[in-house]
Amino acid sequence: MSTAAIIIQALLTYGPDVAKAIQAIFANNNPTQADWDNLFNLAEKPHQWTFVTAPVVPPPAQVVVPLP
Amino acid sequence: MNRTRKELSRDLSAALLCVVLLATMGNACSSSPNVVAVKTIGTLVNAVDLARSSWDLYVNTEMAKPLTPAQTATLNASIAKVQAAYQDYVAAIEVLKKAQPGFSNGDPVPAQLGTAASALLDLITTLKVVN
Repeated sequence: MSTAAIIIQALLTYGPDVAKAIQAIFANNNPTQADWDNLFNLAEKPHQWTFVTAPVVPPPAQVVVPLP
Repeated sequence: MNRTRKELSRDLSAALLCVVLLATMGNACSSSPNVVAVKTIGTLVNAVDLARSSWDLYVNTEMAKPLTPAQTATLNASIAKVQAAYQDYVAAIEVLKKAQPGFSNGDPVPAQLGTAASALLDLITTLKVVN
C-alpha cells in the first residue's frame, strides 16, 4: 500500500485532522526535536477521566399483597 | 447503539491501519533510523489517541444510561482496566523520551511502547465488543 493510499484511507476513515497528522509524519524525512516534542505532547495530552455519573436505577418496588 | 458500533468500527480500523503502517515501515530501508522511528511511533501515538477518545465517548455514553448496580460495577471494572493499561502506555512513553536522542545514532526503539500501545488498543476493542 502506498503512502498516498494510506493517507486517503485515513482521510476517509477518521477525517481531515488525522489524515493531516499522518501525512505530516510521512512527509517528514528530517525529524527535528520539535517534531518529537509534538509527538510526546500528543501522547501525554492531559487526559480527563471525568465521566458523567450514571443515574442509579431504583430497585423494583415491592408489591404488597393485602392479606385476605 | 449505532454510535457505539461506529466508534468500535473506527477503533478496529485504527488498529488495522496501525498494523498496515508498521508493515509499510519495513520498506523504508533507505530511511534513516530516526525517520523510521518517528514514523512508526507517530502512527502508534495517533492510533492510541484515537482509541482513547473513542473509549471516553463510549464510557460517557454508557454512563448516561440508567444502569443497574451490577452494570455500573462492570463498567467501573472496565474503566479501571483501561486506566491501568493507559498507565503502562504513559510509562512506555517516558522510557521512549529517554531513549529518543539515540535514535539518530541507530539505537533501537524500546519494545515497551509497542507492547503497551497494542495492549491498550486490544483492551479497548475487546471491552467495547464485550459490553
